[in-house]
Amino acid sequence: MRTLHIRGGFVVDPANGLDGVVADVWIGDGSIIAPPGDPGFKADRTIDARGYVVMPAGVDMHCHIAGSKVNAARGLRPEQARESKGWSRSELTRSGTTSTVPTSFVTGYQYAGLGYGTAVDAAIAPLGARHAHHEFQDTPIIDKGFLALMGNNHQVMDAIREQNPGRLREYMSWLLNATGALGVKVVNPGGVETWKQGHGNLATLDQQVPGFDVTPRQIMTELAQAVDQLGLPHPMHLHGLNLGVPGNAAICEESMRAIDGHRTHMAHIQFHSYGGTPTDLDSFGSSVGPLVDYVNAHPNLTVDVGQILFGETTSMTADGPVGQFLQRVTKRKWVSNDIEMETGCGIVPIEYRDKNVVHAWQWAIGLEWYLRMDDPWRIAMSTDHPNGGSFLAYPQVIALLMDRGLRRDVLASLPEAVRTKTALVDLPREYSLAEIAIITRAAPARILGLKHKGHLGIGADGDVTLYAPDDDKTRMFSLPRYLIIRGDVVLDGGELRAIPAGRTMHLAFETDPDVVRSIEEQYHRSASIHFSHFGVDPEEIGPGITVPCDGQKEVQS
Amino acid sequence: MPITAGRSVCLGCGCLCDDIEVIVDEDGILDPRHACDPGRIWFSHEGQPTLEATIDGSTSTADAALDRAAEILVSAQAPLITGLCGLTIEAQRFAVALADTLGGVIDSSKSWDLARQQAFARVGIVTASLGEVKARADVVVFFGVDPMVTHPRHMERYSAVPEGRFLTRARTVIVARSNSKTPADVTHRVDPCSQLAVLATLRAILRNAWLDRARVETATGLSFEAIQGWASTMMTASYGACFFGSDLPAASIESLLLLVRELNERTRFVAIGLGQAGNLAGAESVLTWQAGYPSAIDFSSGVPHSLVGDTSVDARLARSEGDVLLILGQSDQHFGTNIPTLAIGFQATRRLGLAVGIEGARPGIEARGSVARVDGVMLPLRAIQESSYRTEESLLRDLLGRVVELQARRR
Ligand code: SF4
Ligand SMILES: [Zn+2]
Repeated sequence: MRTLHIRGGFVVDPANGLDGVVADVWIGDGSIIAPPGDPGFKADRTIDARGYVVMPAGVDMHCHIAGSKVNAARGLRPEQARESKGWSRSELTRSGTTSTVPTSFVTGYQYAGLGYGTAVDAAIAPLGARHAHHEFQDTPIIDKGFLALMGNNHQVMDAIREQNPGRLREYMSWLLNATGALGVKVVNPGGVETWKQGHGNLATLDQQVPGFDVTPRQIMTELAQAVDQLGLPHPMHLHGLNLGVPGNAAICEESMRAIDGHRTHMAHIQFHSYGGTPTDLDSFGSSVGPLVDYVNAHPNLTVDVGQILFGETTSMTADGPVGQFLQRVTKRKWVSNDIEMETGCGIVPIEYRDKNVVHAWQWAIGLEWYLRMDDPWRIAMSTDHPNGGSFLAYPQVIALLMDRGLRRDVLASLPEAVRTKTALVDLPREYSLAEIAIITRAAPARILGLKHKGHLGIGADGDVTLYAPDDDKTRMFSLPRYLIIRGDVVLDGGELRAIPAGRTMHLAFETDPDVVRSIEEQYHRSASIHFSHFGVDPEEIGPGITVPCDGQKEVQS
Repeated sequence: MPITAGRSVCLGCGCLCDDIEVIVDEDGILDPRHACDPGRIWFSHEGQPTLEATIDGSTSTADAALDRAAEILVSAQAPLITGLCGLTIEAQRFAVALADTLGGVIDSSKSWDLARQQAFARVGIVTASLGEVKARADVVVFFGVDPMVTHPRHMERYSAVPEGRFLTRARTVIVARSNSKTPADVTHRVDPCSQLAVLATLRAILRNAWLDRARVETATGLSFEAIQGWASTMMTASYGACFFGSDLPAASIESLLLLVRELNERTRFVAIGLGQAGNLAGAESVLTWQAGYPSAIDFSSGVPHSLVGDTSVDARLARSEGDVLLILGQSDQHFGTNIPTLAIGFQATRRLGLAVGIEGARPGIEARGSVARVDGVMLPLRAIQESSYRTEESLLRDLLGRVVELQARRR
């Protein structure tokens, strides 16, 4: 057995109740093991961790790092790639560009540089699954997976209209299996399809999707229920209606009520927490209060924040109408891509400016969420990379959460309308190290249903980050001392030392051939490809981990 | 995960038809059902070469040739790599890795592809997968192209045979080209030199701009009523699609992309290229995700750079700035250079005057992998027949391995 001994660090492992206690961590053949019984046992390698903070490696549960949308964004922004410093080739690493949408190899290196070991792309069109798996194989070090878009899927909406939940579950499990997905994503349910048809966006939960005679309410509740019944490790991951629209907090709350007790993860909730009315921009503001009260009171709900940071970035979404909306506002270049029977896609460059009242509100609203959520286990750090900003900004967000003085400083530079009205000034809370460990690793892993991630208990993946304690939290979390992935030292003193391939996490289901045949019949009506070319063959997926659903056995492939 | 074999992808043109049922008889002759005539030619065997590999024109084993190729490449100061479009995405991934490792220049595109790539980077695109056109489009415009000739099954499969779930009325097909064999409801005889004027006029009508009738007619070569009618057909579409070819100049492509984007203020409209034979879309995709740009990448500084007109293989050859040329996959292109040339891939050993040639199995017939269609949809290729040659993917993987080993030894 190949062993690594991390000796004497301050272990912060909230899932196992450790909050900075001096302890040893042992890794054997890639997983956490119990300390050997023989006190004289010498590990193959020992890291003297005395004085360092030892945490499970970071887990990003909502980002956009692979597939046709992300790659189109790279192609759209060569000017950024040219201006950026780039990542140099070395004996170990590939070269690449480092824009707001870094190249695939650089994405893996940068996550590792940040002490992260896992990242989940939150929006892949099933038809783009093959592409996403290709990019995943070129995204080293981290374990990764993706959520498959289903909220505007024709066969999903057909099954819901026909009030056939059995059919819905069969279709979903087939789709998850055929695409090698890790979970279910719902984006503007029904709204994207309506917009694709040229009927504009949907603005309420009870409007009908033309041609399908289902409503957003039905789509989200039926899918949430089906995800629960299938026992998927991760709840339905919802990006609801009216993203970015003033006053959208009302429909966000209505959506949470509609889901009626089913597990649901509310994605980038910052973008859904606005007060005011679309016609009067001066009325724009925060409606975090009622939403966070609702989430605090309902344990079936989890959120990630989608924090924005001031600066230039590239917005990308499966919410086609949002892309068009942003293009109208920014007047910048725009990619829109309708994907047959499944979804849309919008990409627009955007700059968040601290002098812009709306942007300043968005910044404050994100932080408000972090500071008003009672239970850190139900909130995950995200910038919705790269929508609100790059994942590279996580250390800045951590610093803001741990230091109210820092928040005050930034707030002082914001427009008066925000400075005087935001609830942020009255929130003295400062995150502890253990709480940071929860929202950056333990909680996202738990919300994703990844039992091997986000903690250091026996059997967990041997993914560990060591930090040098530092009063400057941005520096502390930007420069981990070590990153260990599956027992190998990947990062040491800011330098990459090994580049493991990383694995692809996906679900697996058996599907009845009769069911597949009936899906095929429906498929041919509108598809441009042959049904036999839709599914991704096992050899098209890189080294994989099958994540078990409730009642399924664990398999490593 | 289910594998249903039986249907193959034709790489004969940009349609990448993936419904081809290939029947193989005892003599190994392929009968590609559903393929059009050019497609049948693509599937037919083109006189199998007999050499596994050559070094300076003499027969060799693939292993010895890979050793030699690695030595030449590692010793080179400025290696140039071209010919990505014939490769599968799997092989392309190793090819870009090779260029990166060697600090060379890699390219796949022609000058007209660069025009499209640049237009895209300037304004973006409102586009769709081809199934959206099949299911939704009630207006289809073929701008400057003649799909009946160049993409024989495009209309049948995607663009003209109405069978969509959302089609409430008959589909109107507009062809904008002076000499076209493509059947259409309306044909506007647009000369290549007036394409830009036509696009500008359509955009002006869309914006209700005041237009001088006589000037419009002189500039576009069309009657005022005709171009007005054309604009109104597009504006009243419920979902329109505009297809364009690979030979439009940059300004026209940009204008077309903006026209389509502006149409989305009134209705839904998308722009899609007709696409090209082979796997150009895959090459652009792989180059972009690995190196940040869709073509012409120079890795010599250790970080990828791309500058049109400077970092392309053609430009480097023209300026004699390259000391080895590596041609990958099937390619008939002649490079008119006397620097040492290596060729790896299907039909590679047929090329004359090679320092090293290594034959590869043919993608889609003898080798598995995947390719990308012009709309970005990636399709799997599955091997139909055995080959006596190794796949391009495995040859490039081994070449990369040897290069890395040699570099380490020389360090
Ligand atoms: S239309 Fe093109 S891809 Fe389709 S069969 Fe003919 S040549 Fe092949
Ligand atoms: Zn997102």
